[in-house]
Amino acid sequence: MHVDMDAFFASVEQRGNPWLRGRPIAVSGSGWRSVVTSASYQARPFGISAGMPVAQAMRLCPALIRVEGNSDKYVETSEQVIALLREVTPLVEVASIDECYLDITGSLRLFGGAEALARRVKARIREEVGLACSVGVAPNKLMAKLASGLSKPDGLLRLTAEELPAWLEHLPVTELCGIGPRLGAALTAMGVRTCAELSRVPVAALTARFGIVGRHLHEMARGVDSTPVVPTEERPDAKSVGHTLTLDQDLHDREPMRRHLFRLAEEVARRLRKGRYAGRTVTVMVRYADFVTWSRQTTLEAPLDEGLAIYDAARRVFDGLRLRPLGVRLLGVTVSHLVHARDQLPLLPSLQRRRASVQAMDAVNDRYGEFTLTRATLLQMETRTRPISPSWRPLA
Amino acid sequence: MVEVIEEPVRVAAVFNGRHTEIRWLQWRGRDYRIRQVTDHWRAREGRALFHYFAVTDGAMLFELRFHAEQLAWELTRTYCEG
Repeated sequence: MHVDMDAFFASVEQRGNPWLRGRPIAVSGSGWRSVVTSASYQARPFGISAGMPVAQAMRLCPALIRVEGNSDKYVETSEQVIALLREVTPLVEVASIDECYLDITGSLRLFGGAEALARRVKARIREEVGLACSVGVAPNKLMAKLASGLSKPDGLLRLTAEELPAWLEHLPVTELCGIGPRLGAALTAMGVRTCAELSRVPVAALTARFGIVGRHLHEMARGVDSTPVVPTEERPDAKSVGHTLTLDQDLHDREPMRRHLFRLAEEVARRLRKGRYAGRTVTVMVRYADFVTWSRQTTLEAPLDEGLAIYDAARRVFDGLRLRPLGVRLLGVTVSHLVHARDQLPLLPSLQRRRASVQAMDAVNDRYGEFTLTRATLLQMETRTRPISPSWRPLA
Repeated sequence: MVEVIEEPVRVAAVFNGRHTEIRWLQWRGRDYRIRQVTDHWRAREGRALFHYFAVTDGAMLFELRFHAEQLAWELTRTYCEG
């Protein structure tokens, strides 16, 4: 079963503010140059969708009400929903802040079948959390997600194994989770538009064109998916930790961009240390005013979890880049190739002092909040909030 | 329209198990009788726990912040039409 909250952030805001209900609203970051993270169903007929710059959304719908996102509110609401779902089955995989997969195989008899269970889930989320969700029930995760998507908003759709071929016959391949616009265009170029057409392409032809993905595409087209529901507490370790920042205005000078990179490196480092991770690869992302995005990385010998060290690596990557003249609108820093950090005392006294100062800063910030104690270079930087990542998942 | 306030206020609240009823608030010398708590969430700043409440008197929405350790109320922002 796939449970997908409808227009999650926007619905949470409409739930809490009676004056926003029934009106076109867009949740975004606090800066005017941020992007829409969630649009209410009243805003969607105007063409407004997640990922769109706020300025563009305002042009499409001048009556649009812009709401600054509040991550604490969304995380708490998401945790309420997850807790309700865990009353139905312990096998709940949190895919993101607003969607979960449930393996309900063992709960069917207890709740009187799949549809009864799905109706119960919808009713309880409506009554106890005050929000609508769409639920898809199917033999596997891929088809359950398809079903919830087809039933939006506030719907419930069950696809049985017998019904799948009929559903897939005319379904555009881009409706399947994992086939985005690029892959969809590549398939269209091969004369493939529907799942049925894709299923009739020989596996050999698909693997010749798409490599290992080709076999997977062939299975997807037939509604086959063997990936299990992995409960959050059993999920694999994180693969990377990163942050991005949309700048208030396009920047052309490197120096202010370096300061933003430093701040991002500090934020990434803090999250790494909280998760007791360190990473060897540092990636810098630069998005230009025309949305062309560039990223480069460097891999180091030893894993890092300190902001200054991550910044040093990020700055070397950044300084090696010849910037295009039209200005930068977004910067990002990501650390990957993660390992579990060990509390090993550095050998050199200078590194020991540096480690001790980081630990002291962490202790102060744990007690009084993030960036209460920070580096002097970052003191003048704005501390506006940013929307939570859509890929948020609770700690195991 | 959202207005950021961030001023201390007097609040009458009934803590009733899992639910909190906000009865009235006094702000800038005026009493506001609260009709409904429309939202509640929690946030941490360091170790400090804050409870946030969205409440309305029917004409305006108030966002209140309660510092659980210091037992202090703050009106963080208001929302009204226009």
